[in-house]
Amino acid sequence: MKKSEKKRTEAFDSSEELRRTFRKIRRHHGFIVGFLLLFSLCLLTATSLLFTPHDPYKMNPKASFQPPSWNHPFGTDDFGRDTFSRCMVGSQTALLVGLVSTSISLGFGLLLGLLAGLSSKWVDEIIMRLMDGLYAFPAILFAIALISVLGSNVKNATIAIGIARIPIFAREVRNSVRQVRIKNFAVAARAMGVSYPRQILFYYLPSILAPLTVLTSSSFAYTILSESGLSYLGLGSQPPFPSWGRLLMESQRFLTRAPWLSVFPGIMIAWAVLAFTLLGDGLRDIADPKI
Amino acid sequence: MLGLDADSEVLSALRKELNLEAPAILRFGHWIADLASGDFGRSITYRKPVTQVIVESLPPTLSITIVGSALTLVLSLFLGILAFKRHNRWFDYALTLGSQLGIVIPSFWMGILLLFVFTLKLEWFPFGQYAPLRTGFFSWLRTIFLPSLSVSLVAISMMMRMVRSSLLENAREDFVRTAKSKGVPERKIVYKHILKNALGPIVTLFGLQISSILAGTIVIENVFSIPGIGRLLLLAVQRRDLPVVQGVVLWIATMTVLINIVTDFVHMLLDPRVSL
Repeated sequence: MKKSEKKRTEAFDSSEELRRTFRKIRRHHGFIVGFLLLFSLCLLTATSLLFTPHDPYKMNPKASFQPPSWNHPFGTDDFGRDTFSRCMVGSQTALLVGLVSTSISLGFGLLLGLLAGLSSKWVDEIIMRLMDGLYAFPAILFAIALISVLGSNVKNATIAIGIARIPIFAREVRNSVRQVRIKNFAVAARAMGVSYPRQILFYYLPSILAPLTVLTSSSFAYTILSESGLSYLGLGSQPPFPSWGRLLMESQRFLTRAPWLSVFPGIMIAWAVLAFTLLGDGLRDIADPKI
Repeated sequence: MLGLDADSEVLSALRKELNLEAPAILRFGHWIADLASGDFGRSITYRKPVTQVIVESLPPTLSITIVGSALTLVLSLFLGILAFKRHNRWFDYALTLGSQLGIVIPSFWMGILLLFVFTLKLEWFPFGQYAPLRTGFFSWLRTIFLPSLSVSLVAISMMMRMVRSSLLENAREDFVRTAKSKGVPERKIVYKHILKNALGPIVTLFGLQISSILAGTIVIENVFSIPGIGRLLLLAVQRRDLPVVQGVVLWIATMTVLINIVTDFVHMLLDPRVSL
């Protein structure tokens, strides 16, 4: 036990490697832009928890359909509600859905992937063919099917998107595990009789970590996109609670009267998705030892 | 379906009609057995067999998928080859930036924006209609062009990047240098040597993109109010017409699997190094 821990600290002590990673990050403009976009989005979300410029739920019929101004940067909707405040609150939904449903796919994907990768051929076959079956359903279709049975709300949408993405994680984990399994250090660990939890923790997880981080980041992007699509169809978050997709659905009726209502929520979605995509691409490049 | 205060007689009649009195496992068995013989059951709201309902709304969805896939193939190859030829010049950078935006912009938002500009402001395209192909090619294309474009935007962007990067990768290979030193014309090198070798991964990605375009029609048809499978699915969910929901879900999943199989097959035909 001492030995493996010592080896790990040595790896971390080698500041040369750490410095190289930092240099890579500094030079990767996409990653930096993605990080700044995400940081500003998180800042906006955190602010919205404490304070919004206007009450996002308060209706004011006199102030309906106001075009963007200093007082209402994104304009107001048919009930005179401030769209900027509603978009701010909507970012809570987006980030929360992203977090929960990515956790679902990450958790179950990791579990099933490890199980398939470390078990006998039969268990592996059964799990992976089940995953293939699930993968045949496009995520949005699977979500709609599940929602049609369980009812449409944000909780079911989140769970459905999370489940639909389990196969992607499971496959990644399983393939990485299979690759590591035949390496000398993993064979040695098995021969020495290292316990399974310890093998997973110190031998397998470190090598899965890089691809998994990349996948998690891009999964956030995909999840936010799917949730906004479902909410746009009216199958995600329900009124009066705002979500970006829902805002787009509600505003489409007033497309000729108040086009700005259809512009800003879309920009918010693109902002969030761009942040996670750039971050994911950047992480992939940074984790790649060839670059 | 009948409301909370429905008559108990009406209720029991409906239960009988929908065969809800048998135990769940038996009904599931019936459903699977019917499915095996190609029977998806009857729609509750349309009072017609589900298969018929699906077949009736199939043409718009297939049209959008086909036109979207064709747009994807043509535009991404064209732009990707152009970006490859002008590698590291402003055109290449502009396309890379554009494709990044194309990936992150939700297709339904793109649809709304296109709808606003081209249908409501410029009135170039009609809204909420579908004209079958037999009414003429151009009137058919006019009704589905915008939906096809917005649904395939992500696919175009992803494919274009793939075409560009795999062309660049193959251009570094030894056989390209050999061809150059032999004096093979530039055009022939690009199309005959580089493109042909890069085609494998491009075909695989294209297959995946066709399935994602098919899935994307679910949302996009609702943006443009086009009476296809996606619109049918959403209405069925709202009206709790579960047989239709099951039918559509199974149909799209089956199509996805079929597309994947065909893709693998085409990949094998194009590249003798790959076997099934």
